[in-house]
Amino acid sequence: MKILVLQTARIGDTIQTTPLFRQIRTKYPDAHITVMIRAMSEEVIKANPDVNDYIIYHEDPIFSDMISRDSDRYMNAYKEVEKLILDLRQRNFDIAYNITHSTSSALLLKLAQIPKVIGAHLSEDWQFTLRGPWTVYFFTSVLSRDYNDLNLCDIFKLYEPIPEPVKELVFDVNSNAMEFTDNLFAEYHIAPEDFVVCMQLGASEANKRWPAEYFAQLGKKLHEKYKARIFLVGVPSEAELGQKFQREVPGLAIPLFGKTTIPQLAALLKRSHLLVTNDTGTMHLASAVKCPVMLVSVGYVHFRETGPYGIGNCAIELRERSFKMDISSKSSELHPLDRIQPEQVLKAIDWLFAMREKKQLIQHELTPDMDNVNVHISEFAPDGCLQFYPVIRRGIDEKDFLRFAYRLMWLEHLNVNPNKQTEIENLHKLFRFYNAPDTKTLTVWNKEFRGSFEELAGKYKQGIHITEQLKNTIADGKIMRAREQVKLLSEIDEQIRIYGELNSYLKPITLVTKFERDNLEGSNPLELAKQTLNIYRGGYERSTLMAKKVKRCCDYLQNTENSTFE
Amino acid sequence: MSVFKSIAEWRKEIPEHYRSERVELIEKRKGIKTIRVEGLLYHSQYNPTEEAKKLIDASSLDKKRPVVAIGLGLGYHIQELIQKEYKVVVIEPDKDIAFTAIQNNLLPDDLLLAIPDTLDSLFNDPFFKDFLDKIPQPFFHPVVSRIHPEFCEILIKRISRECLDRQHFNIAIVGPMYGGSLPITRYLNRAFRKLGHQTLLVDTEIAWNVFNAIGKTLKTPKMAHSLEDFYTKFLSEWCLAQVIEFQPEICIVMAQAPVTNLFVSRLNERGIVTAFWFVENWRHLSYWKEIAPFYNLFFHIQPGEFDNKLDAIGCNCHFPIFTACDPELHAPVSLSPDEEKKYKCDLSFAGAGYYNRIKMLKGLTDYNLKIWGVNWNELELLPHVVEGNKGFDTEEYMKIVAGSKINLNLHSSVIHEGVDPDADAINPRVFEIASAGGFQLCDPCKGLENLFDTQNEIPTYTDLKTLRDKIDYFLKHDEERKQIAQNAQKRALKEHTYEHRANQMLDYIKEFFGGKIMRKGMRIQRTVGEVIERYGKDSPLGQWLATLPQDIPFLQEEINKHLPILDDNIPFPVQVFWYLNEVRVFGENLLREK
Repeated sequence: MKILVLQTARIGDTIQTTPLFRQIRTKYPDAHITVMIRAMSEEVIKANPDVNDYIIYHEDPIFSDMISRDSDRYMNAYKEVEKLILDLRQRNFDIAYNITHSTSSALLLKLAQIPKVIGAHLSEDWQFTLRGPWTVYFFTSVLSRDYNDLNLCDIFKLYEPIPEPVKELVFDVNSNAMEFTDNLFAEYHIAPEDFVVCMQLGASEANKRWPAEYFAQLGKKLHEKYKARIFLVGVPSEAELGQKFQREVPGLAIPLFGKTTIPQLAALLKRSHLLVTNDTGTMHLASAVKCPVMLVSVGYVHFRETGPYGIGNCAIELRERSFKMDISSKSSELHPLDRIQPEQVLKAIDWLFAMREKKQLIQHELTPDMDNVNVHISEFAPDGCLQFYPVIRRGIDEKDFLRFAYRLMWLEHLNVNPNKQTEIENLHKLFRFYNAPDTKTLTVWNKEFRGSFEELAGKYKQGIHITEQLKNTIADGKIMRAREQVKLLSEIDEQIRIYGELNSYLKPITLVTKFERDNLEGSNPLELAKQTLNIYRGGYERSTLMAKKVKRCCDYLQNTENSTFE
Repeated sequence: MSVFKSIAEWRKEIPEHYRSERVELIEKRKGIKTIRVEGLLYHSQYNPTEEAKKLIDASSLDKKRPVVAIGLGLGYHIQELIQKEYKVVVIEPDKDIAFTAIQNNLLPDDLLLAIPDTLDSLFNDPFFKDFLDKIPQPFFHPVVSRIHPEFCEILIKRISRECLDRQHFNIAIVGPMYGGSLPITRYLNRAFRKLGHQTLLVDTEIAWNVFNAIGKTLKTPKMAHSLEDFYTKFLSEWCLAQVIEFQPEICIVMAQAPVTNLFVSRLNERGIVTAFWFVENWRHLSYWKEIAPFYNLFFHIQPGEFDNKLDAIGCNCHFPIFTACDPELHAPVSLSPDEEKKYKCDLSFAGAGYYNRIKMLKGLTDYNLKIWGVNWNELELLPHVVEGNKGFDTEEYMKIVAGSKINLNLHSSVIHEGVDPDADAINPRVFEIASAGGFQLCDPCKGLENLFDTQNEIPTYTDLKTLRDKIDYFLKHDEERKQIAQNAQKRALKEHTYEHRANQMLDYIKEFFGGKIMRKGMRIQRTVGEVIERYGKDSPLGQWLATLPQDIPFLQEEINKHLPILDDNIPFPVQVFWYLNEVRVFGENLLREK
């Protein structure tokens, strides 16, 4: 069995795909697994024991050749792609897993003549990109992140579910890399018992960075409290951030910008007690080598979706942040309450270590100094997917409530965990960490939210009805009538869209519909009608299921309203 | 046998005890070597490696393009280039230097070096021809330019010509908002495209209404001028943005285009060759004084005194390039019966009613005369003016020419009563009428005799009397008149099309600024036919490309027009092209999201 996994995103995404590699290996223990990656991920794949082989995909040079408007470079791009397709064909893959969602990746796999593709692939007639349910979910969840409760690693894993899902990232640290760390520690006189902390000051975008000065203040506190030895890690272009750090606390940290390869960085993290980081690839590397992570989640980052995968990692975020993207331009003007403070991160770190030591989640009551932040710790929920549980005890707000209901809905809708018992365990494990809302609130939520989802389902039902009629009309060749029906469907689509705009918590469902409808291409009317029918049916199922989940959650909370939990 | 040999091969040719009298080898402590030639030290005596590194870093070479290094010295800079993974070949005109370098073992054995006896031997070498096809970057060591200045000058010109003669360029043409040079802009753009070059026509015509409205809506001239100025600066920035996005090698700015000198400077900084085509009369419009020195090249239509004027203001690179005709647009047309009623006449004049033209035409009202154009308000001429004070486009103009037995051409003047004896700005009409097969009588504008035979192609007149004499003669002699018109047409098509002018411009650009283009690098344009030739007609790609028009550029935008819809039966190359399209779409979407 020859298997290809197409993962041509960035290093962090490749690391996040390693649980899938393992699940595929588990299902097909004798298969030859090849991964197609970008050059930047080469070291990650080399360190993966589940992968036999890799192909480097030079997408960036191909793209820059394409936009150069130069004939020779166009020819270079042609030759590169010709070579790639012929290579893929010659390898005779049996199955491909397409982790990207693009039409180009779907086309590539069809040109490679791979008989079975899981994930985005082209239809038989080359006209449609069929994305598969998890790909569609993944693609649209970024548009309504407030309600996404699933980590990317879990979404990727669900491309090939197995009875005992993998619950870790994979990166094998080799002996050369460990030797590098030994030498590094020797050079800086770091003893085995010393408390070592790595800090990742940089991030791919400025708005995802916690200020270097705050890292410095935190570093100072860690040194005072834990006698921490601190390494600053990152790429050469982040050295300037390191200089800001050094200006605050001269001589405290050891800068290693651009001085480590990926394996060496992994080895260093493996020997470290903590990584304090923005949302970066380094974070995933740390998770893979079981280095505890303290994620300072700033900017347009959604830690539930892209946070550290594994047990016992911590994420801190501002409570009122709500994914504003304009923070970076005004970062220097922000009020302290609009920023996570070093003292708050230190406290979260203290909690993290206490929980790791006791191997259990310890919740804390809200105090004024932590009023404007949320702190969460990662663990696996009974459904087998990662969950971030609150370390500070608060009431459940609407967003939390709906987000969890969505989690239940998606897992059932996409057939991951239809087990009722698991669902109850999920509810129990999560809600015990929140103060339940009062009866009145629950009644309102039940009525309002359930009512909205039911109304939405009604609109989808209309769409189903008309589309079924449309199919018959097309088969009968009644063009004028078909046009009228298509017009009616457009009106329904618009109603669905507006309803989603007016009630933003419906967007995770309405956006999927919009995405699927917008990407509907082709010239065969009957095929188009069939696809449309599937889209409305999907929307109907999801809306109906959400109504049920809302009721379920409300009923659960109602019954446990005044109970206390440990 | 190639003139380029490896160092290992050259080493075999060096006599055993070779020693040059001219080249002094200097050896310092720690084994640092340099050479002195004709009193010049080729490399630093203290740290030649560091010096070489700085030299290469300062040269801003493009890693993706090969390098032809001229001047070997002892090879420190060559080693630096190799270390930085440039593909490099070396030309060293001086055998003594070359042999000294090879003897001192500082060069890798596989480095290719030419020590040409003659430049022809170099440029006839198949390996070098192939190397030049990749548009290498010339890198001259500063010392070789001082030891062999003539060789270097001729070499760079020749390299530029050899490389660039085979290439199609990317040319931006910036046109005016309004006026006579607007159609000329379009003709030039068409001409470059017909020659196989990729062009961007920066069309500012849409901005005219606003510009025009500024003056009309404001009573205060000062305020109006200030706003017009502001608007022009904005338009200049807009034009600049378009040109920069297009990344041409050459930018041609037409007369009256709304660009500032800052526009030109910024293009020059980016290594883009800038040229201005001044198709006006320098005596009538003086703005050339403020702009000419900023451009790399200044083209104009009045050789002679104007050249001296340009020299005087520091514009050093200026050449006459006349206007011309577009054979497809300025072509003979047949008239329908209705059109014949409208356009047929013995004598016509098409153009604006300048002072001297009004005076001259008043002496012709007894003929079957039709007048076309604007500003013809004299009472005497009104009966002859067709459609009263209206402009005409090219299509109509061709009908005017087709309907007229004699087309009258008279270069404008605001002070003369008829013919301006000093007229030297040959107007486009000369070429357009000829190209359209029309018979033309023209005033003897200076320089006309160099472009056309003024007896047998475009007869001339000096005053009203000679004009009337010739009108009478040629109205009576149909066959001769038609023959002369044919002669003029042949001449126009053979020598005076916009394609000829476009090539002329490019010749000057390659001659004087080829080096600049080589240094900047250019986007290589090949036709489909050229690609088949290079990559083989028997390959699947070659076979599919053979089904396309051979002269279209091998670029995505052009190939896309010929791709069939994806299905199971399309040839493999088509599948690859489709995939490339998707890669580009995906990448561009990602960039937009960022």
